Amino acid sequence: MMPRALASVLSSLLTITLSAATLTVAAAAEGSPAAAQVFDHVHALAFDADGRALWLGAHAGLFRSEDGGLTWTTVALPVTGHAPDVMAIAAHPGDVRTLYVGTHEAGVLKTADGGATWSAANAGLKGLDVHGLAIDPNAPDKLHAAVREMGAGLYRTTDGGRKWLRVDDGPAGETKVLASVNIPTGMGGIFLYAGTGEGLQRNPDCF
Amino acid sequence: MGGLPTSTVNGFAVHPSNPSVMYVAMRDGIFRSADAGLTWTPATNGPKNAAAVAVNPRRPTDVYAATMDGRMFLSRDGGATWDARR
Repeated sequence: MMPRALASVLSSLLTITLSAATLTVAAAAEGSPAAAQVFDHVHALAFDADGRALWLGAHAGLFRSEDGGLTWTTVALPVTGHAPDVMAIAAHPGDVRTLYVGTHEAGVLKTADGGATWSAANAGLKGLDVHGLAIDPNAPDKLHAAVREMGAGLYRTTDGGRKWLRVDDGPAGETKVLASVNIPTGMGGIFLYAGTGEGLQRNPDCF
Repeated sequence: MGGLPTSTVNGFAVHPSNPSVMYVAMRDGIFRSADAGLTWTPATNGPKNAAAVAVNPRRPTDVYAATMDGRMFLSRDGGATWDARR
């Protein structure tokens, strides 16, 4: 026989749980952003060049919104078994059809048709855990990628991802986001900014 | 790169034509810099646990942010004030 105190506590817990469930359903019915889509940990957000499509990278894959993030559709990526964990997005600054994504397990994927078809762009990368991807706003065939774990380091391509070369060890700490920023260094290049586990860092992109 | 709370920078975005204006997304919220990252100002009512931030290239006063758990927020005044998207 259950002690009365314990029964009372369990009853209270049940009531709280039921209330929470009711609230969740109500929120979903109102189209709450929290209930609208299960991204399971968001990593990246980027607009296309026209400011129309908003792309979102998350643990659950790649998503696209045409209404400023109110509704989302899943974008299929050619990775066998499951949706890859999309860590980074680099949108071409002048061509809405061209987009690169960096993934946790499948390296860099590129589309040239707005996301309908994708191809791997990993030649030269010594690892496939890409946590940052930056596209040069002045020379969009030039990108930088931050790779973790195996083959860790900063990589650069100057031909739109056909071939990557390792540049250096990259920013200190775990890279969360990488961006080429159109601020001249005075040395012929621009700055590469990195959001990391140790804060925001920047370095000239010309080394 | 001073003025930010010492913690992880999850997201980063730059104004398309004035790259000295930039935003970071952090656990503590959204921060804005107008001097290429030398000094930062926190958004007063921006989302906490911010995972990512993006600037609309055609309308750079519109700044979007996503939280870790996938809630979306929009600022229509260049990151000063924020509202949940719904």
